[in-house]
Amino acid sequence: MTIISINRWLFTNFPIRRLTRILSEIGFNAIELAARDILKGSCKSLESLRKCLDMYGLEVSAINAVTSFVPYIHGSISSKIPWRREKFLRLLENIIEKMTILGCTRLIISPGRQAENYQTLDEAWRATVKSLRHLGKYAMQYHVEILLEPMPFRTPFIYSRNILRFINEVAQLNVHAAIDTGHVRLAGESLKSAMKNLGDLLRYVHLSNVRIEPGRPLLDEHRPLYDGSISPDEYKTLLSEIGDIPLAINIVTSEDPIICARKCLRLVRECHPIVS
Amino acid sequence: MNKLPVVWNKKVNPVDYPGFTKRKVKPITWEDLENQFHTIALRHLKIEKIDSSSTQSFPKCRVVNIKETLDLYTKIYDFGRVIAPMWSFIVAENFREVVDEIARRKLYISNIVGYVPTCIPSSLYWAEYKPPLEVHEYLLEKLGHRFIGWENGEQDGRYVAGYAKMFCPAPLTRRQAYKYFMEYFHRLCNDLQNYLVSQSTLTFPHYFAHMGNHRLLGAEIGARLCVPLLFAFLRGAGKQYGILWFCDISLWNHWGYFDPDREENVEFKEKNHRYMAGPTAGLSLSLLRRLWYLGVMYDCVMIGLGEKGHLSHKKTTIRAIKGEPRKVPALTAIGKLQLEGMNWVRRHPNRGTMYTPIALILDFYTGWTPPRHYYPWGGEPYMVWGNMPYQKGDHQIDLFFREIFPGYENCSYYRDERGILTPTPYGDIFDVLLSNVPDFVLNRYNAVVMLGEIHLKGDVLEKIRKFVEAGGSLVVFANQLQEDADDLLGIRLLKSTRECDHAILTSENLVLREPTYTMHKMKIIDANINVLAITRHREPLVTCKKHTSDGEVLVFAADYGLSDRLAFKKPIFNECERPLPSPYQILEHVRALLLPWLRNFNLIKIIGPPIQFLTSVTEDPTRLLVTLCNNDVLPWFGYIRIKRAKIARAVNWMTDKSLQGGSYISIKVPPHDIVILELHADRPIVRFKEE
Repeated sequence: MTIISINRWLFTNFPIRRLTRILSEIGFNAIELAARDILKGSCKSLESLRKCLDMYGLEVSAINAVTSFVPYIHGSISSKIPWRREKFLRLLENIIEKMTILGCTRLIISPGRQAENYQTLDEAWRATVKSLRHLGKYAMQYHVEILLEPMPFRTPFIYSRNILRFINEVAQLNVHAAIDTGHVRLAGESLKSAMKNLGDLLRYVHLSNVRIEPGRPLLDEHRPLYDGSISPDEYKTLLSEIGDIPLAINIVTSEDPIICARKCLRLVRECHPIVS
Repeated sequence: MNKLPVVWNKKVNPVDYPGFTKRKVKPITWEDLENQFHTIALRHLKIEKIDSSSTQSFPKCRVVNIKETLDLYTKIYDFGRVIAPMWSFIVAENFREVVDEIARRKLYISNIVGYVPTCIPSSLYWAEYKPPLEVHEYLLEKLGHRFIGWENGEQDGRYVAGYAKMFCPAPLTRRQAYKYFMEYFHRLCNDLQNYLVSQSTLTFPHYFAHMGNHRLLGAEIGARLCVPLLFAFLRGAGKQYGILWFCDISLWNHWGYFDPDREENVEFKEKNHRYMAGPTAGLSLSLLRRLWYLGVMYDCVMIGLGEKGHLSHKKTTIRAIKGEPRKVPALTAIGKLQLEGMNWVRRHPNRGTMYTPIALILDFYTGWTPPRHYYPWGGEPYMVWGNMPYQKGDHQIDLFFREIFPGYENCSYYRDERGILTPTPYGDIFDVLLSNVPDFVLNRYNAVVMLGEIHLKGDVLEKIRKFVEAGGSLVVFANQLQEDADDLLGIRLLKSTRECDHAILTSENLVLREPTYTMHKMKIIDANINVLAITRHREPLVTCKKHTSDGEVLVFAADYGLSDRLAFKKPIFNECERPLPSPYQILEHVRALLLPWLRNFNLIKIIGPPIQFLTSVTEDPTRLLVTLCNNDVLPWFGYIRIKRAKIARAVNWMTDKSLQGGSYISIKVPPHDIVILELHADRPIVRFKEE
């Protein structure tokens, strides 16, 4: 069964017990959690979260560290400052350990950014590769897969081709790629070419929309799938070729999140041959 | 005869603010500053690397020629008593010796410069460094109040240019955007021992003050942001939170920096950016001069001028030192300007307090920035917090500033320096406050204009009600009203809107054609209300309720006082040397009624072409200071009149010559120059507010 999940932070004020019931009723079979929530949670609270999810037949599709951690502010795997980078890696290790409690096997991270000064592109590249190798090895012990996602404003590694090169260079069995449809579009790539670039290495897809109009600022808005520049036809093309890669709707809205989630899932079902 | 205006004439005194004694990080006080105005004397201590192969994080280094350098900058040339060094001196092996010497001479250390996120400290230059606790404690122990703080410098600009958009997802609400902003600054301030001096380049000083860990608020002024605008925010933050402020004048613009020590301009390349340095690059000397004097009259407690360049590296001169002739570096034009300015300050110690009777109140979470600015230069226009598009209320703020500081949005986008300083047709009389301003601060003002996405409800409404009861005046737009406040406003909203395309000014029965706008229907419920503008169907468009306290409340029915969104054939782009159109227009009837009303709060009248002017009040109700700053290429000729009085005598403080008094005085201000006048009225022209 294809995993179809939605991000927890769409439902900020919903208690988890109520949310799991709602998601299950809507038709989701998984939920994606933010890395920060995992860090905050004690082992006991994570165990009880897992029980709650089990009760409604939901799994944790992935832990998203991309939304939780912004380079410099929270840390970066590309940092040139050794102790900062190592501190951040310890934090990710901690998350990997906690993921086992939830039975979750996917951790999504992103590369970048390059330092403002005194770090060449090659140095940023090397630091990222080094971090990924380390994390890959560490995650292997816990049967966790590291998914590297290109992020539009965390320069310079914002394209699917950068991610492909990283994965090939790291060459570890548990380091693969994820994409977010909104991020791909913000970077100026087409969904089709990003998918083609990554091929078999693509193991997870975030679905979100963006509004790109001349004269309007480019923003990583994570708009609902039906409200933005990516058309239903483009989703259809993407999803028809995607096979059973896990999908995660990754959006925010100021409208009713339940209605929004239903509408997005309906759109995915209309576009995806397996999920439907 | 009109009653005399009651004005606030006291300087900010941090000690008087509630909670001062309980604050963990105390703002710098007048006593700390020894009741003096200060200048930054020196920024670069000479550091030599001893061993770059050191196994530690930093190369082994030491500060050399400490005494000679301090002598040169603070004795031989008395550039001031504040040292604002690069951070790297804290890792020098003789760090303690440096601090001891500075302490012995009773100099200050402020704005320890150089924090740049993501950069390695071993560079000893721009670096994400973290001062060790023992270093911080040593500075405090040896310098005490004369250690002002680590610099949070240009970081608001850096956040907007480089970090705000990295948050995923982009904020949905301003509250969330504020939270993101704070995450960046908590991180930065934690690194810097939460003991800071801010140097803003954007409109965020209130948020730094709100953090409770900044001792002094500052602005880097020059080509970054329109200076009168930046000061309206900086002063407002300082007054709201009880923190003194300073400015640092940068020599840079987008194309390079002013270096008077070079014979001609030289080109440099850094990353992908080419820039020039030389006598005609960067900011012009005449602009630097105007900025220096404006900084003083904007009530700065400290001024820095230029990142470097007080002394020549090429030319020397002979100075008598302890009776002996000695060859020393000659002054550059920057050094001369600073000494001239300091001498002027010494000659005129009683400079009063800048008179800013009007508070512009924005919502606490506004995050408003001008439609275009330096961060990044040429970046996408019309954003708040660096990661949210403008809403209509943000356009209102922008268009309001375009009226009071015409052309402010052009700052840093034209080589001819337009927009850095602007004329002030309604006077430079505005401070920006945020909606959490305490009552006692608000009551120091005479009028409030509510701008942007703010609502008159709850605490804000109560605060404003008390303000008007105490004699303050208010301008509010119908869309900002959320609760009934009949007694305050004299009108009630009917909760419906309609499109309109005209307005009639009732005093003149003048019909104004307007672009299409949305008006909120209002019902007049106070028979004594004055209706200043109506529609053809006699619906009220602008009302004025005069309260017994003398406060007036103006309500504008037009949504934000603006047109509906205008249809453009092409999207709006931000381009160098080109104006930036707004997708909205301020309505003619709003302009016709609001702006002259604002002008009434001035104590003087300027007759002549537009010019930048500001007024300072003193402890004497007959004595004023007037600063006239001509930012034009032509000389300015005009007249100054004191409202409600004749000018008994006047002195031009630039020449120290007396001027003929009378009903008015006639003044010439040369092109790109500044004149500061002391005026004595023949009778009191103000009364003073007391708390």
